[in-house]
Amino acid sequence: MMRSMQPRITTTNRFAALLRTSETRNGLPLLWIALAVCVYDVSASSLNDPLAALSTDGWFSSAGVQALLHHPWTWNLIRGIVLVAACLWSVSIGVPVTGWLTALGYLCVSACSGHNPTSPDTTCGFVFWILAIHAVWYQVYRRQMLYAVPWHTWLDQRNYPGWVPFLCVYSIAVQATLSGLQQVFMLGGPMSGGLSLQIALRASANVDSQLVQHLLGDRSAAAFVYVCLLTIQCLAFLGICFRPLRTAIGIGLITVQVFDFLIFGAPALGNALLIAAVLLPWQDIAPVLLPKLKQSALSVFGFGPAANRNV
Amino acid sequence: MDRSQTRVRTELRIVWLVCAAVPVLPLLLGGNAGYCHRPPVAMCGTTQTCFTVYAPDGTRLPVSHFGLADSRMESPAFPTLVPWSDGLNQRADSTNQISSRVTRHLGQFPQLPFVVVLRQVIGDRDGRSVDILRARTWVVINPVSTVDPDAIPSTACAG
Repeated sequence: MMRSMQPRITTTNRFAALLRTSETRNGLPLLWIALAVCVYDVSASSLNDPLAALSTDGWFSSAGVQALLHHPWTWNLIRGIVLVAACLWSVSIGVPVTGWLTALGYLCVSACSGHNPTSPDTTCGFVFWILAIHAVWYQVYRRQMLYAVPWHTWLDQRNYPGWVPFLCVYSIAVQATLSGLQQVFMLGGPMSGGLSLQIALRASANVDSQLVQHLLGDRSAAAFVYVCLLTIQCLAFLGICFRPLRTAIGIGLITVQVFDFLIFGAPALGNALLIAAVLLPWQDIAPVLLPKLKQSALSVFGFGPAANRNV
Repeated sequence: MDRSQTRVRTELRIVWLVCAAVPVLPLLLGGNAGYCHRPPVAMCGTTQTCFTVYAPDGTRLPVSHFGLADSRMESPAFPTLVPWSDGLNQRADSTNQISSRVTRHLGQFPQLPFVVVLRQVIGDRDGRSVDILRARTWVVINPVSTVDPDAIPSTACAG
């Protein structure tokens, strides 16, 4: 009996970090950030343009389903459901149903608004997975929440498993790596020696920008920037296993997103925010930063040591 | 560990499932869903064909509404959706093919009697910089339109 149990114990130990739980409130900041980005994306996507509602051309090949989804009422209904569900989820009302409604509704909205100029193409991958992972967490731990009396004591209980932040890191790193590899192997990115970046800049970037003009006129500079961007993206997977590299990769990916926003005007700031929330070492930064912030806030409002000395 | 072995196994199964789904789902859904993460530089190749579609009044219309979304990944799950792209050194679709695709999509817009399609091919100019190599503009008539094209002033097509 003991012999048969041994492999299970070993397996469990191997994944102990994933199964280790901490206080529920530790997981809420990331969820709130993802919900904020989700609400922004959904309220900004495709706006109320009646033409934009007619752009669903993937997923649902049935004409009836397409016609239903293309109808402005359906479109606004789905968006409304996502917005309400996200707000309820942020205060843990109606979970896990509101969690699933938010995640799947967001997926539906991003599918319906795909390829629109206003669509949140560059943000929806990261946001969707982080929402979905948190929805799974709420689903798995729904009983603990239901039996917590009063319900907000759930926040102090140790119900935040290690696999939630791990999967968030994993989803971002894998998506970023796939983006980089897609360009290297499928689209032959760096082999073009900067030409492909120049073409992309000429096709869709703001050509009035000085940086864009410089890159358009100098292929060597374009090649250098392109190789740097691709290297950061392709190496993102290292952040999954090597924690010391995670911060550097996070900063690199934030740079990529900021470049995307500044040069191509893509709505990538939500991504940058999520990358910062997931990959930067907030468990090390927060204990140092929070007391200082608290102290400066108290000083501003006249409750700090400086104010006391004056008294 | 105070949780049961079944619970532990369930949670580990979820972790494996999500780990597998993250790379697989974007491949299944392709770029059509608009949810797979787009790289900052989506177009790669030696030339890139860009389309711009204008309404009769000169308003710029989203090209995706006319089947001309750029640099789409093909989706194995939806083989009926044929992507176009000459960003991979492939030969671009002919003008007639593009016109028939736009005509098909125009069926959803009876308020548009016609659209003006601008096609530009961007590529290497002098080994150091890029520019527009070729440009062509043509009109695609909407066969299902309820609006008389002659009713639109000719100056409105300036776009």
